[in-house]
Amino acid sequence: MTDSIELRPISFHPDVLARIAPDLSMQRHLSLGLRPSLRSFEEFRNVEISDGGLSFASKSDIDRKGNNILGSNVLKCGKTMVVTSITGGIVEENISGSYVDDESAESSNGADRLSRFGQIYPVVEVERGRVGAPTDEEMTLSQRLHDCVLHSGLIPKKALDVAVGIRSTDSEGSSSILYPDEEESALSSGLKSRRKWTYVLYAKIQVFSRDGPLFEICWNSLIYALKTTQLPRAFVDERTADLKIPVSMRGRSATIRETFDIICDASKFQPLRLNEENVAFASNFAIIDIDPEAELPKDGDEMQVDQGSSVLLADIQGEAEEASVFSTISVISSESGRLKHFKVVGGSSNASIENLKKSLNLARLRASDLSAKASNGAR
Amino acid sequence: MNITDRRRILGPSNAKPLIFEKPESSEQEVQQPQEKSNVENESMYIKNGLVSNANGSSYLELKNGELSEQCTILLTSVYGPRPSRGAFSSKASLSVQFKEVTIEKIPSGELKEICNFLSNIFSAVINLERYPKSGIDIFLSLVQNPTTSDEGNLQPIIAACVNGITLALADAGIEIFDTVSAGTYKRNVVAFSKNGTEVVGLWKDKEDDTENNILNVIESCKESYLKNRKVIIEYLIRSRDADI
Repeated sequence: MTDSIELRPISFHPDVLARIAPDLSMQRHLSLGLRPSLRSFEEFRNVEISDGGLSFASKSDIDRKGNNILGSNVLKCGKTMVVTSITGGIVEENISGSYVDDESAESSNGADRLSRFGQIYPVVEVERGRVGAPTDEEMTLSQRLHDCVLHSGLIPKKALDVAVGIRSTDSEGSSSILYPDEEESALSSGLKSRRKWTYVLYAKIQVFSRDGPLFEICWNSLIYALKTTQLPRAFVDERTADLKIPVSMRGRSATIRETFDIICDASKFQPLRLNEENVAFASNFAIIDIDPEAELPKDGDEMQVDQGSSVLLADIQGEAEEASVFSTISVISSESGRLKHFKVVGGSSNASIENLKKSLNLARLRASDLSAKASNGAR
Repeated sequence: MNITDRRRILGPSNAKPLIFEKPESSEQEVQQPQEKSNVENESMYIKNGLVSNANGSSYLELKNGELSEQCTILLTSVYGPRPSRGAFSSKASLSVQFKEVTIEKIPSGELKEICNFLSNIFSAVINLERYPKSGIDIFLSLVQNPTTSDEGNLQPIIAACVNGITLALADAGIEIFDTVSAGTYKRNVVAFSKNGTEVVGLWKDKEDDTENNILNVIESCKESYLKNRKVIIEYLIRSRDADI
């Protein structure tokens, strides 16, 4: 057996190579000045948004019955599609006997800062063809979105207060609703001072065609959805406003507990007032070292091996990029450059100051681009 | 339910859902035209392959003629055939999951019934013997649903599901015996195959005024079946031509 073993190079289709050797596919693309997605290094994917006409307040929705969606957004980024719908609830605040007004109670230290901001409770679902409990990714995404909304101070707590009106029915049977902020004098009942309600906001975020990290896409969709959110006016019926139910516990104490049925007005609503200066958009970046060995052989003998050069990639997408990138930066920045969230994972590459600076600049540009979309997309 | 869900962020436990004021008059007016225009000028928008990480997917937008704002949007994705673990099976196992993405109006019991109904139909339609030791999972996501909850008329949705699944299976390249489609008449849905000579599924709602006339119902459903099937086949041929 003297057959010489012939070594032949194997070649693969680009898609196959991306699956079996993502790092090699990545490096080959980078050496050509491209990314596996065929974008250039600092190019973002285009984002298309619409409110989807899903919310109860949207004009196109004729049939409002049974629709409890307060705000919505459909975002398409590349192939990935995110449907966000915001629903609400009402919770009664516990007010102790010695209740002091907001303004005097506010103190300036850091822990109390958060108590001035509202929260939102997101549930992210990523469709991946499986049923069962939420995956780790979905859980971390939801928690991160929740924390970022709270800490960014996007929703002032006051915006979630319910100004409860009173519906009174006169002798002819026609009813009218009075709201405390519309007619100051008319509402003199003690209702307002004794009870306080706030809206609770929930977000349901459904992701289709996952193709890369999702936090930034979900965040942007959530912000767009919050911008379209309309809170319905709420009122109680006059007859139930003075309702008192005596409760006697074994004949000892007779406590009086009032219960109110808060009804929402399906035709009257007002937009959720966000802290406009805190509206920020998210973008992500990757830092990857260029491996000179993986480069395709160049013609000519210009051997300019610049060792350890790293490039910054914007908007991570696709299997090859996600699998071969270990150093990532995630930025939530507003149009004016106010940073709301900044996360760097060092990984294997050198996250140099220049790269960080560049990513912050790009994030700001991206934010202004995205926020322009929001105002264009407004109905 | 005492057990709290630790995997999702649920918010305060004492929160009450928003209760909207009942509109007094509009209810009757909205229902009537819907029933009539149901058969005459229904339009269907189809797009295949939107969900990129599924093996096949279809997107359906159904509009009820001139009431063009009221549309049903259904996204179907098919995953499979993919290997299933466990005991050997000579046929593929089929599962159907139905989910409402935005507004949750359909009670969970009925969701289960829909899933059972659809998986019965497609167990008969997919050539399951071709795919031993594998599983085919179908996920239906209802993005928009114009019908209201207390009416409970699910038949346009079920018909859309049948059409959507057929398209998604075709997109996934899974072998089916025929392009199955469904037609509705009043509160009945009948799914046909083989040019309307075979009935593969029949859904009859309880509040139905066409009690005994089952043959009549099937004939009426067949009309709308033929129409739907024509649209589906035309779309598939057109998209194949576009690929070449």
